Amino acid sequence: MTVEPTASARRGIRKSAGERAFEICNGAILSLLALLCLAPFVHILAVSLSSSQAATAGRVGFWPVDLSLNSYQYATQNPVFISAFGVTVRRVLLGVSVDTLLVTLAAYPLSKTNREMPGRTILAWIFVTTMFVGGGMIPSYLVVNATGLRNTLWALVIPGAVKPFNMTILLNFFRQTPKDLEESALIDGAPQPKILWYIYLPLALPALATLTIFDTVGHWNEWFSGLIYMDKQVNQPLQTYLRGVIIQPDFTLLNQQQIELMSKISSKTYQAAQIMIATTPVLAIYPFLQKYFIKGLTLGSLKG
Amino acid sequence: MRLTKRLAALAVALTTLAAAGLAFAQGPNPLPADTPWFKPYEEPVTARIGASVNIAQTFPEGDSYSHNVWTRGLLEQLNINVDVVWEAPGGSDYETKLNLAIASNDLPDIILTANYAQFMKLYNAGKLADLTGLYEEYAYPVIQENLMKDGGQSLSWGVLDGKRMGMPAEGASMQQVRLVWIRADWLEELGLEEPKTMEDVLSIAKAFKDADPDNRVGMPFFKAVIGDGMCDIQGVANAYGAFPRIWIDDGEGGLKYGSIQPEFRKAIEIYADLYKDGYIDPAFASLDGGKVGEQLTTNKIGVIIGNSWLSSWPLNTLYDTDKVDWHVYPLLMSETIDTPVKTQVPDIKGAHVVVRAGYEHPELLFKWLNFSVAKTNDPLYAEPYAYHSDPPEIEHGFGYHMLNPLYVYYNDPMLNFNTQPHVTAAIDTGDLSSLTTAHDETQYANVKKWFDKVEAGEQPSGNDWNAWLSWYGPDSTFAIMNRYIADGSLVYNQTYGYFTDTMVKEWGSLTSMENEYVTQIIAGARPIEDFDEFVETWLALGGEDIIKEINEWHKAK
Amino acid sequence: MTRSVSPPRRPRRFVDPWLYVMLAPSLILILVYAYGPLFGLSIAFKEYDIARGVMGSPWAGLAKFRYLFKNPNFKRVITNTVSLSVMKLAFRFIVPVTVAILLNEVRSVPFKRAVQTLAYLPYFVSWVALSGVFISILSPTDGAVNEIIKAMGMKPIYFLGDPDIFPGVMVVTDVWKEFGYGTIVYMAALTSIDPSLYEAAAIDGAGRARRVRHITLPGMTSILVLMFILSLGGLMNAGFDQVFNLYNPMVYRTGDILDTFTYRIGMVNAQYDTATAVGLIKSGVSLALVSGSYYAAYKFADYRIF
Repeated sequence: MTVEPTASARRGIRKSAGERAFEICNGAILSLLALLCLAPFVHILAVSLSSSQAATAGRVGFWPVDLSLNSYQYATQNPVFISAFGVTVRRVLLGVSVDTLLVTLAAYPLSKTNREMPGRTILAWIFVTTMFVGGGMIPSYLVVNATGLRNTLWALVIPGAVKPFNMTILLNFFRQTPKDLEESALIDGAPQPKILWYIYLPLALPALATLTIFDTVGHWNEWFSGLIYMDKQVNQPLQTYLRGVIIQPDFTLLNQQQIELMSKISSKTYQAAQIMIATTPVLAIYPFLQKYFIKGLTLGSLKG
Repeated sequence: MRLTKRLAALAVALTTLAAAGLAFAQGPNPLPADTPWFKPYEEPVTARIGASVNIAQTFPEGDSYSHNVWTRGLLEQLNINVDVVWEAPGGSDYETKLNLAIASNDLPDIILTANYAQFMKLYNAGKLADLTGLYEEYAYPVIQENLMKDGGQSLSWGVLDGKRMGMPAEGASMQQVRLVWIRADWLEELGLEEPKTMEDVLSIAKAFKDADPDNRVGMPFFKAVIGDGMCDIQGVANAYGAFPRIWIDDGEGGLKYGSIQPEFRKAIEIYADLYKDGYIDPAFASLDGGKVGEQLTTNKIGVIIGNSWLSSWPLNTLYDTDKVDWHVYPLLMSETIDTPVKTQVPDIKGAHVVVRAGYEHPELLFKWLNFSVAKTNDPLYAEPYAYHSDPPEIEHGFGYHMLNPLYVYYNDPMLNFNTQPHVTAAIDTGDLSSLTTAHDETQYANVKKWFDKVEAGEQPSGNDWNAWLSWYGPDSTFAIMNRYIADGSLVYNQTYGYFTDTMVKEWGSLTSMENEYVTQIIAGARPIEDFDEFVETWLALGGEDIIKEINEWHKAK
Repeated sequence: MTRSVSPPRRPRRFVDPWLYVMLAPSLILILVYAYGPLFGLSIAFKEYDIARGVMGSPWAGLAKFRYLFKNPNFKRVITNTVSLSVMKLAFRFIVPVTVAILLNEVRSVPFKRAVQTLAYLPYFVSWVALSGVFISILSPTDGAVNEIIKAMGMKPIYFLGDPDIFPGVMVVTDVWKEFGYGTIVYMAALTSIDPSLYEAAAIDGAGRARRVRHITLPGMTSILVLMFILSLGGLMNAGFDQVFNLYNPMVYRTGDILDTFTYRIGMVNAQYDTATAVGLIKSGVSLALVSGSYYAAYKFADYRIF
């Protein structure tokens, strides 16, 4: 078999038997890996759609046994679950907007040189240091309490609104933008906010989109501040509630009627249904933004 | 809308009670407004409270912990405006929340401390109102009487330096002792004899497991390890003369701590062997009461050593679905122990209800507590089907008593115990005069239903089965526990919840360390010899000081 | 202001106050909510009395630190933390790099995309939810994994309860959750390798293995070095959310890490002073590691965070 060598090299196909075997193996390994990532979710989905008896008996694999929508019905009728879901949706919307605004406004000045913005390096360190040093739970609570945020949606948003890590990524992104563009604007006497808006921001959109997704996921998955800053059950976000269901409280402190109630919401199928409902929204946003995401992620971490 | 629902419930209550010819069928009487116990405030008085809640709690339409039959009743009848300022799930989350409230100096008016240490911390910081004299003046005599039924023991815990600083929120409940439960059908199926000793119980558990090793658990056990009446190690420990987690008489006039005695090592070793031989669920350290309940209702367990409430959940469910009956035995002693049954009344956590220093109406606490008892269990004023639970006719009735933001009821501690002879006599003789309380009458009705169903050849409900197993005849759970009391076989914590200074600081870490060692030794992660290491570490990390302090206190008493 | 018409003249740099205005909101928030609570660090040196507060509690010097170093659990926890995070760190390199190289050899774009998407899936799910998933499928009595093991005639394994296996389970589940992210980063590095290098190698008759060794891997060196140095800063973080939601007392011997230890003494036992002392030690070591690794990144990879 004679194939014209350059052409095949260009197309990258050079199908010797060994090559073919490699490709098959490679494809198989990667497929297996991908399925391994999917399998637990399929299993939990199957459990959530099975009858309670089948699930507790361990008879459910990757396909529902005695198909039943009971647990979803129960979950969607549980007012605490619904309110927790609502709180999470609201905190994501509010939190992501605030975070995005702040990170943009802060990263931009810090991307300047010390000559353009005296004190910039010190200011940057002020932000970065907080990634590693914290005052602990009680002092943080005291500050949140003193500033009047306790038991408001803002308590889930404001204390962690400034994210130095995201700021650093965006800051580096801004720095890659060619200076010439800015300089021509400066010549026009444009103020910095305008330059940010018309010149830097459009170019930084992929990075911003990436950070937004990370931020959404972060807000969606966060549970600890709900636990300490929220006073009422109806204000608890979804993951705080979910933690109470999965990592159950101390049963020794409950009387048997309360245990009975707990055991209902933590039954295997019901727990699975709640996990599915709590997880699907974050999984759903990713594919839509995948294009932006990969581009932004690469640029952010690969700055040279 | 809510009102009609309540009226409907009341109507049902009244008709059923009237039919049974009950004492309080004429009621409920309005609360006597001219007594100090139930005198309504002229103007609404607000009481702020942090509530220990259950995330699984459901509510009647539109209700919550802040607005329900209890808060409405308190406002309408006593002019107490309950303001639930925060809610936290009972347990460490509640404790954290209360600690945060203390730290931020934003205490609710009425506080339920999670344990004795927290009570002492608040007291030492001067954050508590002095209730001296108020208890005597404002507490409903029924409460005072009920609290004296243990000789005033629990009542004495709330007195610090001669002043009443809090009300005990839990008594040393004799109801929390362990019993041996064995599945009747499996015992028969395998042709096994009824157990005489703890060794018999263990071999029955093994035989059950061996009969179907893939689907059964031999000896149920779970992460609580000690101090939870579902299936902790306490029953077996008692059978071998060990009394973990409580302070007992050392025979020389002093006190010693049960968990560091050699007898307890023996009990741990037995569990470690059970684990090694596959008779304990390998995942026990991550199982909670709910999961063990699931194992019981899916026919995985045939022997369980736990509290009397097991028949009201989850065994009643199993009776409903699979008609499974259980035999109950008193705690059986090991053949190696020649004393008659000695069973421990579990340690209490020392939770107290207290009032914030500076609150204008400290007596309000007592009015609330009075209301709780009057509305649920007082022959004169009770509206049990509005404030306690749905009437027995309703399957899986709703428990309204769980919505009370201050979940403390000073009922007669002997209520359930007395029901047993009363109900048994009424059933056997047909003479209903032995029934003296609402509780007697309800349970009598349930037991009666059980007999009627059995006679008619029908399957009784799990609810009726529970009543029958708990209160009828000499083999019922409360008959067994009545014998425990009569025979003096109960072992109490000799410190009655008292906390020394070192305990306030170190007790939390010491008990979690205890749980860790016990868990790890049973699971084979450590050899049994490490029990000695546990004792050494326990003594070194404050235990030694505590023993000294406890004994000084004991001698001074 | 007169605008200069002469094109070659550079505009005079002037400091635009707007820059500070833009930074102000973030700066204020971080001063209040991140620096504000720092006064609380002082309780590491105090006998903390919750009722008297941070300021009112009496000083206790280094008592809390001495208590910690006397406590055998503390040493165990340090060892566990370091060994667990080193293992995680290693696998977070090996797996995604391997997968990225394998993916790079795939020609079909839809297949590539599909694998990437699926591999990235777990990254989005919280450890709270995942703990429910893993506790369920790894259960020794009725978990799916053990059902397979039992079907093969072997004894079930208690993955989350055996202290010898637990760290392994943590590493595997961690890599499972995170490798999709790493893969995408490294894939991006690979796409920046000049394709003509491969063509030249192919013409020279280099096989696939040799092309990977001589072109692919060298092409990734800089990003690998960079990622490695950066992740050193997180050495004291062995994954609180993961371990906390999956561990139990049976595996404390190997599974208890700094953050879970701090949580227990602080939140459960309410020894805030000791918990703060642990936090302070951890912050100190982390800060040193981070400064060190950033310095190294700057020195060896010419990488600066800003």
